[in-house]
Amino acid sequence: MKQIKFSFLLICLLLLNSCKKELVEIPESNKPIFTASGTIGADTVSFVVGDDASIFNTLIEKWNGVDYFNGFLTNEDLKIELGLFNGDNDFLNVNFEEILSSSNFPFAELSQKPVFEISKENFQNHENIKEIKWKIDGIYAGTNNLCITNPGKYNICAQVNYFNQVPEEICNEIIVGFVENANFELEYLLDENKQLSTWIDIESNTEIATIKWYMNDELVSENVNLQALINSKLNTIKAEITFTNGAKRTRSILVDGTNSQGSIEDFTQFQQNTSSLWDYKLKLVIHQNNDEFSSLNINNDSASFKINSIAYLGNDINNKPIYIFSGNLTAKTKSKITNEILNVNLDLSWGLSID
Amino acid sequence: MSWSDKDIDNLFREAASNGKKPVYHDSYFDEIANLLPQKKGRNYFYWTFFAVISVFTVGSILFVFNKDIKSQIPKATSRNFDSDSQSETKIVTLISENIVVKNKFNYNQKEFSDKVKSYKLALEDEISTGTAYKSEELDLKNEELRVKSEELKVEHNIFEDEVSGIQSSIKGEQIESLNLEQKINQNNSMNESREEKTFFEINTLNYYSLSNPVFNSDLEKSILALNLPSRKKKHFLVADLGLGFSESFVNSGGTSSKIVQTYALGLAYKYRLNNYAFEIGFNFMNYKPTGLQSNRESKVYGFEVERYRQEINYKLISTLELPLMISRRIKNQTLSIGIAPSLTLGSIVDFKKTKNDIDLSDERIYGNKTGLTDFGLKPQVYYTLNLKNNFEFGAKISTNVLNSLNETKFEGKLNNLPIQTQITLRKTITLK
Repeated sequence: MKQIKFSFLLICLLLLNSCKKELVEIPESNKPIFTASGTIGADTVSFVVGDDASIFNTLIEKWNGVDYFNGFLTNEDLKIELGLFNGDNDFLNVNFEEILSSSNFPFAELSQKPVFEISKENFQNHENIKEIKWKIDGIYAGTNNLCITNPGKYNICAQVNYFNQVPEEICNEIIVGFVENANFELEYLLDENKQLSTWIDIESNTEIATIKWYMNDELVSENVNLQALINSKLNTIKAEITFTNGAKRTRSILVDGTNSQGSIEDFTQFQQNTSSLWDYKLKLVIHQNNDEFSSLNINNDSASFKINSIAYLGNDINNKPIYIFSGNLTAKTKSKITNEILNVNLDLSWGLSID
Repeated sequence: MSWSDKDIDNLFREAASNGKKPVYHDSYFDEIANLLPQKKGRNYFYWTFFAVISVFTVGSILFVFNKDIKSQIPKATSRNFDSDSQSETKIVTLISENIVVKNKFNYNQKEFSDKVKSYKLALEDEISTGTAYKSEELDLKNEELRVKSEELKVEHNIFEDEVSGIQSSIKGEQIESLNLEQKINQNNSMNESREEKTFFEINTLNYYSLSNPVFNSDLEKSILALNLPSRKKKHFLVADLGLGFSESFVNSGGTSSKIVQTYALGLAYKYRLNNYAFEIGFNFMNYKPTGLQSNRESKVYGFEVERYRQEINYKLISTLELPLMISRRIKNQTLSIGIAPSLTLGSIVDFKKTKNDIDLSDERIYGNKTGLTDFGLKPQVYYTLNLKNNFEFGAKISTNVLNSLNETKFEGKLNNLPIQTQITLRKTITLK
């Protein structure tokens, strides 16, 4: 009986030991994901990310307040940047599936014309204004005159110094060089009884969905128009507006309750019209020989990035989706130093993180 | 001259005083075995399959619900035969059996005495040329003969009654030969020559055993066995220890050597039926490959490339075989054939892992199954030679018809039918 028990025990131990035990499987090899091959200027190039000591990376950067979805391939000698500017920047949410269904992406071009230009003299009561100090996104940008040439989404603040009043600051968000889905002005009228009337003058084909009126940072009304008595000081009137097309904007003005001599009207109206908007446009930059060749510096009306396929790759470390764009890119770039023009023709398998 | 019972008695007594030791040859046993009826058409495949299932099922049940049955079986050694009167009883028993044989086969006295003489002379001739009889051999022989006689008794159930009847008659009553002959003649299907030979041999061996007190205990067992309930010893436990070599698993390429060392430890249940035996058990088989490596590399492209490399150096591969064997015993040799499904238990490997040429780990791993197939199937032939004390020395040759390795994991071409040989030492243990 001992022999049988021993045998039984031995069998059990052996069977237990036979449980499947695999080593950690080695990751499966795959084909290169990011590649670039073609010509840059007179040079024929072929990059396989992972080989040739090259790496790839994607970043979501802010370019003048606008999301810029950038991908770059770099090795010891060369760096290629190709990125996509976000669009519809006044929308809370963007339907990227529709955007990514595009088969061609044009290139952005940096215009020499200002996209926003304003000076103290543009204000009706400029004679009462000693000076205006302009700040862009909190950074001093000039006194009295402000000129912006790069498209973007900026927070412009005007610190107004009066001759006979205490200084006051008024800020507004502007979107220049990009599409504004809600184009409007905040208008006001103050009668002699200090009765203030404010309203939204919409120039776009949309309507107000909701609006909140704030007086000196205090919510005072959610009606379409604001009717209120104001005091004898400088009052900040701010409207938070959501439009039926999905755009959301804020707009502020200063209203002087004494005699309107200190009022500052909606200065966003001074932005310049531009025919070249950068929504969902590309920027290509080639870094080589200590020089930077950018597609923004040259007309690229004939350039294109013809997409063969767009596929989801995965999420990046910030949990943003990465898409692989495969296609042919033809564009011009211009040196910042020598003005040399490089013609670029590349077959790309390129990645971009898109928020 | 006709032989009376007294003459036969005298013949045994005379021979008993001879004092020579008998020699037993396996050929006697084989001759008898060959005379046994062969059950034609028996399907051993189904029997074996049934045995496999039965061993697992019944074995498990017995293991759990086993009850000690020792007390239910009378012990052969409980009877003592060391006095003169008891020796006399033995002789009387033997004589009575001879009378049965004589009557059963309708010998006249002369024919019967001639038969006895011929066996006596044959044995004496072997005694003069042979070596001393050994207690274990006599025990074994008596046991095997007893088993055969038991089988004969089962087939011809009148025999046991006759023995007891004759014994009763010897003790005080007259032998009713006519009635006995009538009873015997009723059994028309009896294989006379086989039964005759069996009983002549039993009695002749017993007769010679009587001549040497050393064998009294063996004789006692033999005689008791004729009268006690059947206790067939057909069940055995066998343990194997094997050492050997195997052809390499990989024919070419890589760094693997051509010969692989092996060692094995086995345990099996054996069921013996006459000269045939069936075995089922477990064999823990180990291979010690040299230079057998499975190196794996991968290159994962992404934002950069990650180069992974794993070096697996196999040190030991263990399998659990379930051999199903059928064997034929010829004299003191046994030849077995069978098949052994095997389950790969795992392996011991040295495992080195790097990423972008930087060592991540370098360790010994137990139980790895990477690169190994789960199952194998090994036809095998096994030859053993009987030694003393139920040990056997043997040689086994086998091959694996299913590859032990996963071909995609190794360089080179796998050896499809690697020949494996082992020398073995086997110990047989008789079960209750």
